[in-house]
Order: sequence, then structure tokens, then C-alpha cells
Amino acid sequence: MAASFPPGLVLIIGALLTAVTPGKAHKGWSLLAPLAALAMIWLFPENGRIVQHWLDYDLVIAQFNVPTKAFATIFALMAFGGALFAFNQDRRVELSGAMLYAGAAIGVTFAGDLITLFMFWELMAIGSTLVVWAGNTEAARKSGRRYVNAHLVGGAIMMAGIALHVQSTGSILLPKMVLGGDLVDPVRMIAEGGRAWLVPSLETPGSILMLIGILINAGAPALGSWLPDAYPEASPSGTVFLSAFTTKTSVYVLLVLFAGCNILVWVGCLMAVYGIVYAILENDMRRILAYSIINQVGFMVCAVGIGTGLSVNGATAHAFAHIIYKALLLMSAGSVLFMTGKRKCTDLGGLYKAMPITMWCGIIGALAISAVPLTSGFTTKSMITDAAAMTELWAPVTELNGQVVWDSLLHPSVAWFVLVAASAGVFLHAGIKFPWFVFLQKPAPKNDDRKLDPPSNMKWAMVLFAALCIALGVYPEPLYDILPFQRPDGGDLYHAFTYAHVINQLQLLLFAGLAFFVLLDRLKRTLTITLDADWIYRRMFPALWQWVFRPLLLALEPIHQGLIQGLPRMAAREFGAGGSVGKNARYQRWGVGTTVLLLTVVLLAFLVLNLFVNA
Amino acid sequence: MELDDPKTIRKLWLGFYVVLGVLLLLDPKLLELVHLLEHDPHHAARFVVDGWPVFFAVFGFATCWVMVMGSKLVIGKILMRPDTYYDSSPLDPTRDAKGRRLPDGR
Repeated sequence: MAASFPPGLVLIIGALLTAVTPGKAHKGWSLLAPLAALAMIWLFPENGRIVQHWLDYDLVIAQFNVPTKAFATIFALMAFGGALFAFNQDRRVELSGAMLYAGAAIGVTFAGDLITLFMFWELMAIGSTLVVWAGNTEAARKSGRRYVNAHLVGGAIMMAGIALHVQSTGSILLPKMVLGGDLVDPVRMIAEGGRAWLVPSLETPGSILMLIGILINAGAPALGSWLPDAYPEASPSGTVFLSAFTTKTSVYVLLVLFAGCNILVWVGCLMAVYGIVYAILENDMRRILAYSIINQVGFMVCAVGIGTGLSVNGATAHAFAHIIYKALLLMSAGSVLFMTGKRKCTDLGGLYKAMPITMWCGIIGALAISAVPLTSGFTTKSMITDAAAMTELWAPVTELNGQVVWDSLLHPSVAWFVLVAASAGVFLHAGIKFPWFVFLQKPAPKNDDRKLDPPSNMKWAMVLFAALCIALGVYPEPLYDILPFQRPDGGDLYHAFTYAHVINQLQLLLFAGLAFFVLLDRLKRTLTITLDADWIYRRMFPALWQWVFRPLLLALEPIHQGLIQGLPRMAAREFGAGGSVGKNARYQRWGVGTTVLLLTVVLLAFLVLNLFVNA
Repeated sequence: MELDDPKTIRKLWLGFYVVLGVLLLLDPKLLELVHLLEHDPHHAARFVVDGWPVFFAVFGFATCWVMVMGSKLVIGKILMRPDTYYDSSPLDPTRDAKGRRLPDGR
């Protein structure tokens, strides 16, 4: 049975049940559906394939692609954890939207062709917009509108790319990804019929459009300012759901379509640094975490660009761990917002006595995102930096005057230095900044006996995810077992815990911590925001309309008037019945509506006749 | 032992410095230099500087310093605005159509 049912649909059915079940019972579905989906994912046969004929295409609705299992598993787990965190809240739209969102994300990971992938991709945009709007404030409504517009534009660009690609290659299938020899070698992508998959070389306009469409969803700078704009406006539990799926699904799609596309290395580095810079300057705690999503996704995008077996494993493992600790951080921040109603660092602080559980869970999330040894970040992110260090295996080279030289603008080693610097920066902007400004910073009130830890379902959701962060840091083997590539000789996949690695990582992080406290005065929060690319459509376009185009149109008004009134009048006077025949003329005025209707009927008649003529 | 007691804070700083000092002494390249540790081929230097003793400590501190200063003094100077920046705009999320602050007021 499992072979004939796509796992993503389980959650989508769960979304419908959540939406229509009366009373409080609908919340039960939101806990059951993710677990049922998880079971279906694991029961889905390794070589199973669900094919559906639709129009002229054989759609592969579900199959295991190489990274599918890890991504689908964490999406289902995340839907469960998020639903547990949201259990005490009565936002039905948010819950069913989130289930739809998670189900569509799982659908994307199981898609075996570009059309199925795209349909689930768009379904995600719908589900996530519902989650943003469920924030139910004016700010959420407006940023949700910007959010959905950004995603619809992204979707249209991606669809255009897919259409061009399908037209030029004649195939809608995803490529197969196989290990290129050893684990550290570049992976090989094979298209239908054993041909080479050429999309990562970005030679066709179709592949470039697809890449832009995906990067919009991944949150790459200048295309991704919808992310810090919309995510922090959702409800406390809504942001937890939002943090998990869209960007990580983009990483998945980049992995299966664009592994080894070298420009992504630099896009990823840019994202990693951009996320840090904006997070350092930010005051709103959930916006800090939103920027740090971009920073973390930067590591994964970079890994996709490197495109070796180790980096593909690293991107997958890091996405898995990242979803857990980012959700944990946002649950911690969400609890603070839920209990205190405050969201700015300038208003927060001094909560360490009032919210001990929230604080410790937040600190564990912060340590995990910083990749401190014994947390999930350390056992996953290190794979990416290690893969980046092996420049001779991934960086493109050309031969110039008989000498082999790097074929890139920047020396490939720059990528490694940026990633290591970004690892230190993560500790600075999320690892210390978040717990420090939210829970510590100011002394707690004297005899602080406030009990501000959130209701038990929220606490349990946090404890569950905190435990996962540590479990994956101490014993990552179960995660390593579901990664895309295993060692050809069957040996251990990756050793994170070597003496040099542990000590170097601790040095890097603790000295970054020293920099934080030395520079604390510089980091004091102010009541400011930092302009991002969304300024273009929030300020520049409205201003252009108000100060340039509208005055221009107003100035042209006399000409317009002349065209729509003067010209017909003149025509009527000169040529029409009214002019020459005078009062006795049977001059009938036709409204625009009638004219359009007449035209439509004529066109329809043409269309119908055309069918018969061709047949 | 109160967390906001200056004495506790001083002790915490002292502890932090001790940990930092010990970490510097435990540096693998330093230990290789004084022959306390065998050379580990898996951690051979790839880009020259990462083979220098205490590279990671210096690099961590320096890049964070640069990132904080750079974002504050360059990006912040150019792009930072009061957080009411989008408020007076017609697209302002915190005010209604007539410019009055909304009740959920942020």
C-alpha cells in the first residue's frame, strides 16, 4: 500500500481534516498527520515509483531521489514538533496552512519530475502564506501580501525556466545523482537516457531562470528580503513552521538540479556574510534569527556549489540539524513573545530567573547553531567546511600557456576562509547575542518570582528539540545512515571528533565570544532597522509612482482626454450620422461593456469555427 | 551566588580567561611544534596560514572584530534607519489608513 501512496499527500489530507473538523478535535489531526507521514516515508519502498499519466506527460509523483529520505524525514518531524508547540493555540488557519505547507515540502522531495516538483513548490507558497496571514495583525497581512507576491514571481520565473528546459531537452525527469568514485570526489549527474545533465553549467536560459526562481526561495541576498520581512510577523508558533520548509526545500532542489554549479559557492559565501552583518545590526529578536537562517542556508548553498559527495552529504546533514536547532531557537523566542509580548532586544533582558527552561533550551539551540562540539551543528556543518578545504577536487581549472590555473574570479581558498569566518560570526550574532540580549543583559528584578515559562506543550516541544540537538551531536550515526552517499568501502562516513578539530573549533568560537564581550558597547541595541532590498518595492516603487509616474500621467491627462472624448466626438461630427444628418439621425450610443461583449462573442464564434475548419 | 553580583561577574571573567589560555596552550599545531603531539596528516595545513599555531583563535577574534566594526561603521552608517522608518509610508503596517497607530501597536 505504501508503494501506491505519495507520503506528502498524507499531510495534505491532514491539512484538510484539520480545516474541517469541528471543535478542538482538529488539533489532534495536526499531531497525527505528521507521524502518519513519517511512517509512510519510511515504509516507501527503496525503488518504488508512482507514475501518473497527465496530459502528454508521465509524471513521477513519488520516488526516492538520493537526498529525499533525510529531507522528508526532518520535514515530517518538524511538522510534528511545530504542531506540538502550537497545540495550545486556536489558530485553525495556521495549523491547516502549516500541514499543507509541510505536506507540499515533502511532496517536493519525493517528486521525480520537474512538473510535479513545481506543483508542490507552488502549493508550499499557498500554505506558507496562510501561516503568515494567520499572524492576524495588520503588519502580518501586509508583509504576507509582499511575501506571496515575491513567491508568485519566483514561481513564474522557475516555471518559465522549466518550460524552456523541457522544450530544449524533451525530458521532464530529474537527473540521477551518483557518487563519482570516492566520497570526496565530485558527484556525477546523469540525465534521462544516460546523457550528461547540463543544467549546472548554466549554458541555457532555461537553467538560469530555474536557478533564479530557486534562489528567490532560498533567500539569497537582494532576492530574499521577503524572508526577514515576513517570517517575524507571523504568530509565535507560525514563525517556527515558516523557518523550516521554504529555504530548506530550495536547498534540496538546488542539490538535485544544480549540484556542482560553481557560482553557488560564491552565492553561498555572500549569504553567510550578509546574514551575519544584518543580524548584528538587528534589534528584533525574531528578525535576528530570520537573518541567521540566511546565514546558515548560505553554508548549504555553498556546499551545493562545491558538489562533491562529502559536500552533498554535508548540505543534507546540515539542513537536517539546522531545521531542528532553528525551530528550537524560534520556539524559545516565540515563548518569550507569547509570555511577555515583547520582541525587541531593547525591551528584553533579565529573564533568566523567570524563564529558566525557555532560556536553557534557547542556549542549547544557540550552541547547536554555533557548532559547539557535542551539539548537532558540530557533527554536520564541519563536513561542509572540510569539503570546501579540498579545493583541488571542486574548483574549476583551465590551462593557460601550459599552466593549470584556477578558473574563477576569486581564489577558491577564499570560500574556506569565508566559511570559517562565518562559523565564528554565527557564534557572535546568534550563539551569544540571542541568549544574551533576550535573557541576560540586564539584572533580573530583585526577588524575581515571575513564573514566565510557557504552557507545558510549548515546553515539551522545546525539550524534545533540545534533546535532538544534543543526541545528534553525541551520536550522529542514525543521521549519517540516511545521508545521500555512503562510503563505497562501507567504512564510517565522517569523524567529527578529532583532537585538532575539537580544539580548533573551540578556539574559533570562544575567541569570537571574547570579541563579543570586548565589543559589547558597540553591539548595544538601538531602536533601528537596517534597510534591505525590500526597500525597493516598499519605498522606491511607491515613491516613483507618487513623484514621477503619477505627475507624468496627470500632465498627460489633456492628451488622454482628447483621445477618448475629443477624437470620437470629432469623428462623429465629421463622418458619423450625428454630424451630417442632424437631428433625424438614428445614432445609437454603445457602451463599452456591450462592445466588449459583442467582440467576445465574435471571437468565440471564430474559435469554435476554427476547431471545425482544422478538423 | 547571584548572577548580577559584581564579584560573580569578575569570577566569571577570570574563568573565561583561564579557559581561553588553556585552549591556546592545547593548540594542536603548538603541541606538534614542541613534539608533544604526532603530526596528523588529516589536519595538515591546506592554505599555509591554517598551519600556524593558534591560527583559529586569532582568526576567530579578528574576523569577528572586523565584522562588527564593518557592519556598524559601514553598513550601519549607510543603511540604518529609525525603526519607525516604514511608519509614515502609505504602506505602513503599524498604522491604519488615516495614520493612526493600530491597537496591536509596535
